[in-house]
Amino acid sequence: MSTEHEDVRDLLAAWAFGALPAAERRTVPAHLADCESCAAEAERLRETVRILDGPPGAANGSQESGGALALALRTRPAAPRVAPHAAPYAAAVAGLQSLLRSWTALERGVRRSCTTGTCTAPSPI
Amino acid sequence: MEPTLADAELHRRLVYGDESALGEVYAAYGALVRGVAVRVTRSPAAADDVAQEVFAQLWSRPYAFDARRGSLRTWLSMLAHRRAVDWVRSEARHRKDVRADDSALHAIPDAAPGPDETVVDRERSLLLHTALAELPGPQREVVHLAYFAGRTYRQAAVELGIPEGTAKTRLRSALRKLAESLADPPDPALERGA
Repeated sequence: MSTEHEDVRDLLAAWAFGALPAAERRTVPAHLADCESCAAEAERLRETVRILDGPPGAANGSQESGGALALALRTRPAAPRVAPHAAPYAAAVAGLQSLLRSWTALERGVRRSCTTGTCTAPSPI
Repeated sequence: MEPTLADAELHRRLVYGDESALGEVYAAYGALVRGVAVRVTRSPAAADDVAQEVFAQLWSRPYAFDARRGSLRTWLSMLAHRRAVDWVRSEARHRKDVRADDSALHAIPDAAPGPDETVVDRERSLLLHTALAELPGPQREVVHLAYFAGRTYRQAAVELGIPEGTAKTRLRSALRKLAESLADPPDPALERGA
């Protein structure tokens, strides 16, 4: 086993994701021409990324339609501007309110899952 | 990992309710979030909805993001991906229900079905994205930076504060696991029950 073989083998996933720096990108095809096991692995990983990409077309997407933050601002009003001397107090109050919202949402989640019989805490994401 | 100063400061302003901070986050990451959502849903309109939800969640519950546990970029990207996968799955369920209703009335085939190959490709793509959403967090982060955010594995390592070798290994473990999930798809009956 040459070190070149091991080096390239370790790079194959990054290569398949298109995440190799230019200098390293060149070393892969040269090795694949000589190494059957790396060529097979490269093909398998590349094919997986191709399927992840999905069928061609459609996914190129158009420009967004605007108003992307409208929903956010409906769920919580922005803080009003305050005088500089009141800013620390306003920041502390806003922090507590955010915590309270997180807590309420978490509690709702727990209660919902308890009523369905699976009494587990909801995961963050 | 060390939180970046910029992320920590943005987070502080989001908690405070500073609307301009939300605008800055959107300017920096809106395209990434939408790009992830379009890649998964293949629908610009659905991607807009997903992006709206993602930024609404960040804004209404900013403490869900913890700058000490990861960057805002990867957090938003992973949240967008999770939401987009959920959207496609609920859409697929809904379509199946509608088709079942329709077929009782009149057996007309779908108006504009893609060629069979495209349908199969889409299903396999969704299968992979579902598997991706379930990868362990550390692997998912590197995949998001390399695949969705277009970073090299070296840049991803710097951004995550991990050795380059670790970034390479995580990409490899992640992609191998995805390849295996294709070879051994989950039982559809179990999937429906979940």
